[in-house]
Amino acid sequence: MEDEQREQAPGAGLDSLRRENLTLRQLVSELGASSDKFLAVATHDLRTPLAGMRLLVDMLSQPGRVAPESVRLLDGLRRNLATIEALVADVLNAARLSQPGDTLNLTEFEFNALVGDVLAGLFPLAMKKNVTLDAKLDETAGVILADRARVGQMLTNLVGNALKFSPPGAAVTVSTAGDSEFAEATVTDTGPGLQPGDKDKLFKPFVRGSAPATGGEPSTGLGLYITKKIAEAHGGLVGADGAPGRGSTFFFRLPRRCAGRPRSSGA
Amino acid sequence: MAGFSIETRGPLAVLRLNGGIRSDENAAFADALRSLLAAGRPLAIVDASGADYLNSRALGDLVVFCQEVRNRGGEAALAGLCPLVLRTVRCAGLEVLVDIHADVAGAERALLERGGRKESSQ
Repeated sequence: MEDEQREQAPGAGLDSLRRENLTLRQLVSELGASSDKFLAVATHDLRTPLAGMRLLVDMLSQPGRVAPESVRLLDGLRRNLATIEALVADVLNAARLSQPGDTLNLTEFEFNALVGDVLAGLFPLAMKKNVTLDAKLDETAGVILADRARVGQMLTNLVGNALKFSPPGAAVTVSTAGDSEFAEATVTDTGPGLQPGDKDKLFKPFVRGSAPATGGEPSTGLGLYITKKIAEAHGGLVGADGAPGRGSTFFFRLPRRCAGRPRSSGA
Repeated sequence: MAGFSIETRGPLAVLRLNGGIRSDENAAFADALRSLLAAGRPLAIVDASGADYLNSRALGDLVVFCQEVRNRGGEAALAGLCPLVLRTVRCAGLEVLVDIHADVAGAERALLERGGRKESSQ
């Protein structure tokens, strides 16, 4: 019976599938458009009052504005504000990366030059925390075609994390290497290492490892998730290894010619 | 592995780096800076033209060294920083703490001139 029905209306079945496919495509497009609109609104509606709050806190912090005993309260307010701002930025970033229409701004650049720039920006934090920040940049890392800003973001996340969880006197080393197909960056630290249960969930959203930040820095639990999404958008991968008390190693590997969807030239 | 050499002539002492300073070289670099201080010259230059990288601890040690030389009434400068290290120094805002010159000759001229102004103002 079923075979007869299939033989009688194969074209009808295909038409139905095409219609369903078209409906699904339209739905995805509408969802994408509404998601774009949500992100645009959320970006503005969340960040604007936060910027206003920061301005007020900065104004109140000027000498003589508030009683001396209230200065400590303002410091607490400023720290919490920074936590919320970081969380909003990370959530919006993660949402943007999860969009099916998200595109990459592909350019060719020297991988080691980008690593150098990121490290230069993180030296003040390393010096403040008394953590040695080292670089071993191999020429084989070469040139890659990728989204420079997003790759920089990955590096900042990994190196920033290593600094965040390293105690004074520890060392963080960033190494690069590559071959004809891939370029790779590895961040190794001599901090507390990874607990056995941490490795499986590290790159999931809103998950924090067992170790606390050594300087009391806030953590949104999205940095590694965002790093993973960026690597995957490029057709690459991320990974982590480490044992308790023996430091950690985080790495990402990207194809030389990124496989992600580039922004259109007309954009 | 980095090597160091110290040259002295007149009021000037120059520490030359023959390689980058990473974790393995930090202790030896700190010793070399102490030797440069012990040379007792009023003008000190660290020639980093042979160093492809200076890690954060090395930069921190250099800042402390330059401050110590000033505390003793002298002048200190860095010369020949590679582009990566120069960018790092600027990003870290260390330019206000250390004198930076493109090469040893330029550093020497600047320090001698500053040393001369100091003597004439005393």
